[in-house]
Amino acid sequence: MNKLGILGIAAIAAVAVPSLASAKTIGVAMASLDAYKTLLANGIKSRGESLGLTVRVENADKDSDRQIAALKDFVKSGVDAIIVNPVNGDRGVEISKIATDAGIPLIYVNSEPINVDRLPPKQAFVASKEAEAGTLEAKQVCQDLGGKGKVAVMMGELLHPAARRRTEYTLKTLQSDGCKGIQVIEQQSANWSRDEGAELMREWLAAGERPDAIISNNDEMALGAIRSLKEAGIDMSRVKVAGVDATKDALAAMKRGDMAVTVFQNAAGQASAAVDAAMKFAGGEDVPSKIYVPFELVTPANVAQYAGKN
Amino acid sequence: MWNKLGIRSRISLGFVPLLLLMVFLSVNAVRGVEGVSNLFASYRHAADQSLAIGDYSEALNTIRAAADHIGSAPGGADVTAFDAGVSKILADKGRVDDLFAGETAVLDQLKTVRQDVSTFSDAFHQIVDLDKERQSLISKVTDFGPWTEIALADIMRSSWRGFDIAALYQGAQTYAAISKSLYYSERFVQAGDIDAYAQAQAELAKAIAGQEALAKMLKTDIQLGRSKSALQLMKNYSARLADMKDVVAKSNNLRESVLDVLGPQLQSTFAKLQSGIVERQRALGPQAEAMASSTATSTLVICGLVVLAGLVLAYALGRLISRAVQQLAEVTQQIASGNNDVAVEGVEHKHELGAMARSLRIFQENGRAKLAAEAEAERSRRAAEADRTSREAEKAAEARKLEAAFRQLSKALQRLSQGDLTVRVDQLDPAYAEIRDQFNTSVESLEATLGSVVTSTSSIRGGLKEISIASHDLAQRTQQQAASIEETVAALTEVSNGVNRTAESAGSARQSAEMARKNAAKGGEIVSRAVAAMSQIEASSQQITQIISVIDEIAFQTNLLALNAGVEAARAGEAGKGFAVVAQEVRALAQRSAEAAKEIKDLISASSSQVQRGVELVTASGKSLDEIVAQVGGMSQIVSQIAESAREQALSLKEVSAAADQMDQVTQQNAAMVEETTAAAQNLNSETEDLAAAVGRFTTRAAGGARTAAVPAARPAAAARKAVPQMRATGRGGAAPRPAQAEESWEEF
Repeated sequence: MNKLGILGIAAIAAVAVPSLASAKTIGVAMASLDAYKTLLANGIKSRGESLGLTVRVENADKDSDRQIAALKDFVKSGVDAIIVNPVNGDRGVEISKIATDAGIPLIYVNSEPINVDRLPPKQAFVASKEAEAGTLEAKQVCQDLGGKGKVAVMMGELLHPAARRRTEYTLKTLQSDGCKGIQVIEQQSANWSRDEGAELMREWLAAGERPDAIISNNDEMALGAIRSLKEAGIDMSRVKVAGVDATKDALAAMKRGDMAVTVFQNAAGQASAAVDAAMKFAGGEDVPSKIYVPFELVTPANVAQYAGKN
Repeated sequence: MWNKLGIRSRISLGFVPLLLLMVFLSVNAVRGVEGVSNLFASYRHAADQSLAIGDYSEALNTIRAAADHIGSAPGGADVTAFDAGVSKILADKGRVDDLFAGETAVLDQLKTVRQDVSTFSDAFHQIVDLDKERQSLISKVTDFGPWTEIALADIMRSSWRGFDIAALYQGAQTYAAISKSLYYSERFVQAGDIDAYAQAQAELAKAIAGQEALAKMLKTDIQLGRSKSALQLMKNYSARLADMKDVVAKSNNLRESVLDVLGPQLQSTFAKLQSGIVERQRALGPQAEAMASSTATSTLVICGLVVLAGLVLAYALGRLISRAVQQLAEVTQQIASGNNDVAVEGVEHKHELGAMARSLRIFQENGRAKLAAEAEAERSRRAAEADRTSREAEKAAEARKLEAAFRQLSKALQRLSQGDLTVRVDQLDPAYAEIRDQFNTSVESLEATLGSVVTSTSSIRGGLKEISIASHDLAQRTQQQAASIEETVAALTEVSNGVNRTAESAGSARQSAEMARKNAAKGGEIVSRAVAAMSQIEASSQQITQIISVIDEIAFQTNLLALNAGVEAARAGEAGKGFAVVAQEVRALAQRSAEAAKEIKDLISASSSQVQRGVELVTASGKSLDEIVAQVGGMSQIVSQIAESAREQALSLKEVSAAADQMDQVTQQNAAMVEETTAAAQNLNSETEDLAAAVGRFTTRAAGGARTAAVPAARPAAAARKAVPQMRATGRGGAAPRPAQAEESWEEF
């Protein structure tokens, strides 16, 4: 009986993996390789390699000119598909044109390009809805605080739509019924970085602010905030810290009781969806122009099931 | 010439002028009606044309209304209405062009109209696309703009907290510029005001310059990062605003250069076409009236002429024919009364009456030839009568032969119907020899076929018996198999119980190990308490040593004092003599107590070193107890692993046992199936018997074998009728209905 089940699964897996006539190459242009983007890049690599593809990863290190150059280089070396995590989504039209002119399928991943609603054929956008992340973490914090208290919001680089959308929906959620007793006392950017998150928290503490919760646009800044709160000798059980990404460090912090909320952004899911969409385009099939991988709420109650996922 | 013509030709020729007149009349009438109907067709055609142009005009109005509306409130409904209008004009091309066939000027105009409409449509769709782009750009501008303010406020807040007054001031300047820019851009977005766009961009340029200046004043990474984001947001905001301006300009341009020009132009073209058609329609009415009245007049005149000519012709022809006919009638009457010698006149005329005169003369001659012919006819009738009588005698002989042949055949067929296949037909008239041969051959082959059926039936019966025996054996073996599997299940249950017991024992072993570990741990505690007690002893010894040192010190001081006292007593002379003795005694006592103290000190230091050793030993025993605890722990773990694997073993055994149970079930089902097979074989056997009996009814030359074989074979005892609980009807039982069918076909035969 069990053997039959295993055989069935094996058969499905065999069907799901597209057969490739010749080894194809995917060019991957990453905006940077921070904790989450490293996961994403690794996910793309492993998914691609499991399909027998050659995967070339370029890191633009937050320099959008460097990223454009990398894309042109991909085109010149004749890759079969490009996956790009844009540094500056505002250059979406330019990036799309490079791929369209070369006739190469292009997948945007994780960061939204400006032309997301008007993508040319053979191009798609794979991400999770940032609004969802902001809503999920704020709702949980609101619930943890019982609908009242003081909250400080840490924003990512405002250049990124992700930072803007997460912040926007965090604030919107805090204004909804049941959370109206919550007051946002601070709202500043720490550029996604852990050190800068720590610095910003120190600044707030020095200014005499004592928030009941920190809602951060990502886990890194949240971990920085936790570091400064601890240095100031504040009892972590009295401050709820929320982030997004469910990185390894964040999950560890949650297990220690330092972090209250994070939101799992499915890096492997996004990576697989991006590679699969790219291969479908390369094989002449059609793909919807927007593919959303859902965010998932992580709290101490379910943290165990996310261990090792990111 | 006239005389040579027949009467018919003369009448025909006489009617020619009349006919010509009538033809002329008809042609005239037809032409008149045709002319009027043509005019009506043109009228209807013009009406169709007018209607078509009217439709176009209406479609154009729909198109223009949609185009006017799209700027103020864009929506899908307008685009649908517009496309419907355009397709009305473009798709109707064939029908409308047919309506205007031949009118080159109008066709050219229509062609231009269609071109204009498709240009208009292209422009409209471009505007719709541009409008979509504008909406998307508005969403970007309204995203970037306010967020730029948030980013700046963010920087200023940290500058304020850091007492960076210069940066705060610069930030405020930039913030003011951004706010102004947002105000102007809002005006541009809402009202399409190009001046407001220029002001928005100018303020934005100031803001960007201000931001760059601000960036130079900032020092920390976090502030620099924020500034970079703010600057990028501003640049994006500026670029999107510029894009939007382009889109608005393009859209306005299309509207002014295409929509606003082509719309009125199309409208006036349609108006011109319409008025041309109406003019033509107006001219057609009087034209039709004139044609109708002229046709009526000419028709009346020609009718009069026809009547006149007809009357004249009728009179002339009537006279001609009646005279000649009267003459002929008289002659005919004479001949009829038997006067063959009367003279027939008018034989020389070529027309029909001349021919009639000639015929009358021939009648006269025929009367004379008639008598001779009647005698000849009587002779030939007699000859035919004699011929018919001889042929009837021949036919009677033939019928007798046929009857004899049929009688023989019928006898043979009667025997055949009673099942006698040995029957043959012997002698027959040679004419029927072929039928006889065919009959004999057919019966022979039938006999041969039935003979082989009989043989096959007996061999089938033999085979069936074997099948019966084999399936009976199979049933027995299956039962044996079922029994062995049941034993296997029982054995497996025992093994599984044994493994369960092992698991339980392992569990209790683990508990004992756990207890041992706890006891060992308790021993360790005792050891550490002993170590603590010893340490306390050591500490007390040390305190004692200190106290002894104090005593020793006191003894030393006492000795010194006694010595001094002795010196003082000696100095006092005789009076101090007694005191000197006491001092001496005190000195001796002090010395003794010092000695005792020294001894105690030695003893204590010896005991202290012993205590030290004791502590060491106890610590060592504590350590070894710890090791024991660890080892017992390991042992307990191993034991629990054993327990776990025993449990797993028990589980696997349960699965094996379940598999054996399944095997048992399957075997039971097999037994049931075998039983069914046996039953089916028996069924088949009895059907074969029936078949043999049916075949036995026929008499053949090899009849002996067929009749004796029809003895029913002993039916095998109903094998393995034991109740099988899991038995299910798995067979389809297809054997039963077939033999009935076979019987039917035999009877039919």
